[in-house]
Amino acid sequence: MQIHTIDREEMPLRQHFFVAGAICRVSTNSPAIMNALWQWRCSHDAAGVRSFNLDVRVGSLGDRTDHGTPHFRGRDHLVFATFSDRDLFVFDLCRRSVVGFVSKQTAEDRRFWTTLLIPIALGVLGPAIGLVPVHAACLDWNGKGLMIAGASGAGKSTLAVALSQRGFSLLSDDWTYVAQEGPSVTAYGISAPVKLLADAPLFFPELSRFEPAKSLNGEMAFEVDAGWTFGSPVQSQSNPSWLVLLERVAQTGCEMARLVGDNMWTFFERNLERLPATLAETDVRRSETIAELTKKDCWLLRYGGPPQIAAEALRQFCEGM
Amino acid sequence: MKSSQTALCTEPPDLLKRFVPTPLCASLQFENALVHVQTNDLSILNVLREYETHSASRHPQFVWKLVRDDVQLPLQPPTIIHHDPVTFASMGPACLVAVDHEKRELFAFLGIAVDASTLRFHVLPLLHELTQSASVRATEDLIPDHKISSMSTSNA
Repeated sequence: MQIHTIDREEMPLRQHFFVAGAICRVSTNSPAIMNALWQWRCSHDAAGVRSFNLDVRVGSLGDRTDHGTPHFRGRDHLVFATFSDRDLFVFDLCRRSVVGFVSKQTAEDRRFWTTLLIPIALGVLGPAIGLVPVHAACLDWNGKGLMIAGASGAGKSTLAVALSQRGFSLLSDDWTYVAQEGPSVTAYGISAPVKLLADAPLFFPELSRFEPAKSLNGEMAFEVDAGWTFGSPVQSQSNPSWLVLLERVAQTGCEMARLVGDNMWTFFERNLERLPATLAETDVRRSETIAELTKKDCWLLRYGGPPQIAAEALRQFCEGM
Repeated sequence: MKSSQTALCTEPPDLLKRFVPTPLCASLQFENALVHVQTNDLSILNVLREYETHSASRHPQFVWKLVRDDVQLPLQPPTIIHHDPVTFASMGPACLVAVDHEKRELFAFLGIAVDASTLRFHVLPLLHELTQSASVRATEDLIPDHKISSMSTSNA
């Protein structure tokens, strides 16, 4: 039985990256992986900052021969992910580490690291390092964060893009990473591409030069850089002031009503990944962060029709506050 | 204005199969190792029964949690990675195994391709060997200067 050993101390390349409010300590034998993550590089490993290790070895097993659907399984503190017949990752929530063994092709695929692996690592390990992934878009309006929560298909991404065309800075369109930092709550985004469904060119003609492609969950969608495609201002963090729960309705129009924070808390809690009993303390800390977040001003937004209608209503709302 | 969909959704599905109950249990004897097995599948348990021991007096050295998965993909050649203190093995999505040496636990997800014969002749030897390796590594950790030559490891 041949065992391929991945030893952090023996990896020739090591670098710290700062992504979504967390330090990611990477060790690898691949310069291509370092280059892919370079946008997040940082020079130091500040004590007390949330952190995790990412140790990746490019193996000698040859090139991947399939591009299979990503496959995830988990038990207790360990989560497996396979992306092809040559790419294997294990996430260890107890030890706050990600270990990968990948093909040379995957190592050289920049999009894989920036739009797939890092968001997945933050989603899986986030709760273990004090970073809570919440199913919400996030934008910034003059230093105040606006988080837009809603079920899949509710229109978070289209509304986020429409808002970014009205002076809001975009942090994220789908998943936002929230951390409790002293008495305040900070929201982080990772500049991931925005994902818009196949009918989005109806509202955003800028998309007419692109073709939709199959996304991670099998949907046909446009996954584009918001800054480059729409000229959206993008930033990496904000302090949430308003939380909006989005509900789509058939009739064109828009209305807002105050929402009790408990309802927003329930929405976030029900969308969290369940954690095993062995991570009970992590689960408690995560709930505390959600509770702190939902003390902010919470609203229900019901809208139907083009996203620009709701975006304009939200702009006026934020401007008037 | 009437709502077309409810915003408050139900509990998310267990996409990782993290919470699949494993109520079927057995104690197995592999050479010197006593293993407590938990699984959700009777066909897995039936294959393991030939190693079953009824001496419940000893504390198990290892716990195996073997989850029958509905993955229908074929098995691939095994890739085995060690990153202290966890060893993981993949034969593709149809067979994923992780061994936590410190916690003395082994998890495995076994797809449809792992039938009784494959389990007996291919997967079980792998699980056994990973368990033995974990025991050896644990011994090495306890006695740092002790070199165990029987284990073949190499850097890729």
